[in-house]
Amino acid sequence: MALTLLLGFAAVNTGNNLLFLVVASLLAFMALTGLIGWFNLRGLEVEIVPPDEIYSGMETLVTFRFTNRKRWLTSFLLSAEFLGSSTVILLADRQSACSRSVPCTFPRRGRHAGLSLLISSPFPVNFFIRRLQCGFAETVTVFPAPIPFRTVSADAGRERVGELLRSANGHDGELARIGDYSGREPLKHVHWRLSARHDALKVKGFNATGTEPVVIDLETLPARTTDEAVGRAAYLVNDLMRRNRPVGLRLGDLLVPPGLSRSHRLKLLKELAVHAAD
Amino acid sequence: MLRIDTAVALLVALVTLCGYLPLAPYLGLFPRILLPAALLFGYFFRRRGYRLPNWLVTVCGLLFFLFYALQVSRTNLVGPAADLLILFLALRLFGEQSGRHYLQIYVLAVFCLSASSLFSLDSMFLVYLLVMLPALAVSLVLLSFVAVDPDAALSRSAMGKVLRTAILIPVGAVPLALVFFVILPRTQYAMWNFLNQQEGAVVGFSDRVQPGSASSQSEVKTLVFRAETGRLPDDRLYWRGIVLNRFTGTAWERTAPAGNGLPVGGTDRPVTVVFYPEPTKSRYLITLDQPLQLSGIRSDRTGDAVYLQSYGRAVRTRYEVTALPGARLEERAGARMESYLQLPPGYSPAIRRLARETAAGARSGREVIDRFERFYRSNGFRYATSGLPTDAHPLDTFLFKRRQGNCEFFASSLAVLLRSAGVPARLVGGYQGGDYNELGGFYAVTEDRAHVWVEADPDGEGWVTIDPSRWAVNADERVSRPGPGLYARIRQAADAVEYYWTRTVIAYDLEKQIEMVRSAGRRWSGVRLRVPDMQNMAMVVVSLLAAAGAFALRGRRRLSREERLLRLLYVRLRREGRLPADHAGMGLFRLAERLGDPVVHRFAERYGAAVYHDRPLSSDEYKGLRQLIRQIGNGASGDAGRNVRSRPDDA
Repeated sequence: MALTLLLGFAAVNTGNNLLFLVVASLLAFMALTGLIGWFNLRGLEVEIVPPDEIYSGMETLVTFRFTNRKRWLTSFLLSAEFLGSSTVILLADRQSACSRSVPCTFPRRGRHAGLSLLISSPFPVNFFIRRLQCGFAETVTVFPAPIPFRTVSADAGRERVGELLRSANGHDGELARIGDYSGREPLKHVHWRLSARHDALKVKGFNATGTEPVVIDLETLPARTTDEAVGRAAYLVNDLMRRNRPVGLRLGDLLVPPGLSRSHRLKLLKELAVHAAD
Repeated sequence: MLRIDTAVALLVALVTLCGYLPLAPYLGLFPRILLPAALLFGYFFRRRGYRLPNWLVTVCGLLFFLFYALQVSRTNLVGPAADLLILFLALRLFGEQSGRHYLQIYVLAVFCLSASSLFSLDSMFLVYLLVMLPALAVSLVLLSFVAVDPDAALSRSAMGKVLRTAILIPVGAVPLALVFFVILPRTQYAMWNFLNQQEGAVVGFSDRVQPGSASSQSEVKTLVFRAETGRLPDDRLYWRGIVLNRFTGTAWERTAPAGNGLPVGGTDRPVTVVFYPEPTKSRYLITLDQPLQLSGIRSDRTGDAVYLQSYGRAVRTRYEVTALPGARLEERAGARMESYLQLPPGYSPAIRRLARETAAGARSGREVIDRFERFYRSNGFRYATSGLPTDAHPLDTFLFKRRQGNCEFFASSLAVLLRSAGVPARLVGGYQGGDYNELGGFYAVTEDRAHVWVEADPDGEGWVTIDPSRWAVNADERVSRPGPGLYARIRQAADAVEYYWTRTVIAYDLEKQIEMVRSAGRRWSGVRLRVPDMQNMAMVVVSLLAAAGAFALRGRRRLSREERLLRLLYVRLRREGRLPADHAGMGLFRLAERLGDPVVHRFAERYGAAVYHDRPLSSDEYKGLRQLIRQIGNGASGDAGRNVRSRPDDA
């Protein structure tokens, strides 16, 4: 820019047309680089693909899928910045997509809305950096960071942290009862002989053979703040379910019955994530 | 994989050469040698990492600056500055190199190329600029990769993609630069004109003619000017420069002329000639004998039809002359002609005697001239550029002994003879003849065509042109003519290129800018469209629109109504910023589920009910589905401003 201005000043004052030619070329050069820089960030779409489990304060890899929708031009030197971390894509081919994972840390638990990725590029010449803010409509739920709960072992702490419920229905325990077929039971549980006798389908009910279920009550957890309690609860959820123990959750009036599946665990963590702070 | 820094190093060398080569002829010996040495040093030692440390480069730079700063004066500014630029460039090449240093090299190279325009206006400048521009563009693009990753390397295909994009810059910049060149503001007068130190051509004619000062005359084929006009007879091609009116006994000089002559008579109609002179330090403007008027440049006309460029001149290398070839230059009544009979007292009794004897009994000045012509022709005078008399009385030796000399001897001796015989006479310096370029329609006049001839006013009827060199027995051999060979044709073509370069680029100025705007305005206001013209124009416009429409709609022809509906849906969603990036392989129901939009759900259900059961859509269904597409986004939560969407939160 300074070079062009200086030469332009010299051209006007000397009336030298060759200097005008140089100045005209430099101006055209700047215009073209600006235009190509603008095109470089145009037609880019970014999709955020967060991992299933994100814990506050813990580094995680968030994946972004970049799609260059331009028909003719490849995009170059894209630097994507997300929550203070960045990644570089040297080249994003036209009409194609690529993925990059960015290590980042969410500082607080809860629903994170209005997330955005800042894409910048010095292309084509490193004089100016163009930026593009890509916003995401979806929210990302960040679970509370688990706070290890050493006082609670698998058995010793169970009375302190929850209450024992009656045995839940299961598949591989002792025969506990005979009931009507509700349509949800597997066919192998149908008691054919009884069914024939009663003219209706009867199924065998079994006790579960797993460990005793636990319902975590946030208010009974030893913690000074809600956040600390939530962190300990998250630790318990993960720890107990890893030990194959069904876990439920009581959050004030809300009671989530115990369960053992992965989706159940994520549901509990989600509830903990959005639980109001103090 | 191709290392980017290797490619950048090669391009740096190319850019440096583009700055150095045009400036090289005008450099001092030291900078002229140092820069190639620095390039070679870079080539051989780059890989080994030998570099001058930065502090040494800085110290050397300071010392060079001090050395050249002491040489700078108002008249010697550009030379030292050019030397200094090249030395800085060389030092930078010797020193450490990184992205910032490369940029310094580029800036210096651009400055060097620009500085060369202060020395020469040659069209090669454009060649260097057109090489430098792509090299700069590609190099800067590659440097931006190095800035991100200093060890960046690209595969061949990736490098190809980078180069294809980088090359768009110069390709697009060239036409844009032409537009900028035309519209960039010009001023009427250049304030820094003293910087334009173009190589002043050694003018073949001077304001002093001294026969006998040298034994031979060098013939240089340097171009002096181009004159755009039609073909003229050879004996009309006298390019007037200066009139010398005072003879000192050894030399002809110029003093303030007496009289004020105007061209009259002549056998030809007025001729308009556009002159494109090469840069010169001389103030005398070349015209065609005899000039009526000169326009396009500030000048003063003296009484003997000599034009001098005014002080405070504009940078202008084009002017127009209207002339009457073969005309007389008639003095106004009462002009004092005695000064044109002046001779130094006691000058050459032999010449005076010859003049008296030859003119004795002549009834008119014209007859005196005829008698002198016969004298020259009958005594076998030869035209020669070597073996010229150099003794104390060179004109006597020429007339009475050796009888061979160049135009200075012929013209000087005749003028002295005429003055001795009482006929007012003076010398005119300029050029004679020229090589006509059929391609460009102009005369190219070179230094070797410098010529001196005589003007005499024999009977008070006006100054007539007399060229005594034509009376030599070998007059036809005086100027060598270019042969019809291939080389001559190539030279002519190259000269035509140079001519158009001068005409369109070098001579482009404020006046042309204004003229361009005016002529555009005139053409526009003069447009009177007749009905057939309008019909033709309408046909052209319709054809262009149809072609554009066909281009835009290409590929859509084969789409079914169902496919068109889907495309409309995608277009609408994309406009709303809600179309997932991976929609291509996604089913319609999956898409609706992902978006969670009830309208899209309804669309999917109705569309699927027909299309997925191999039933064509009815017209009502089609309309209904289009209606649904229009409803998408109406009243929905706004996503405007977001150009992307992510997958729903799975966490």
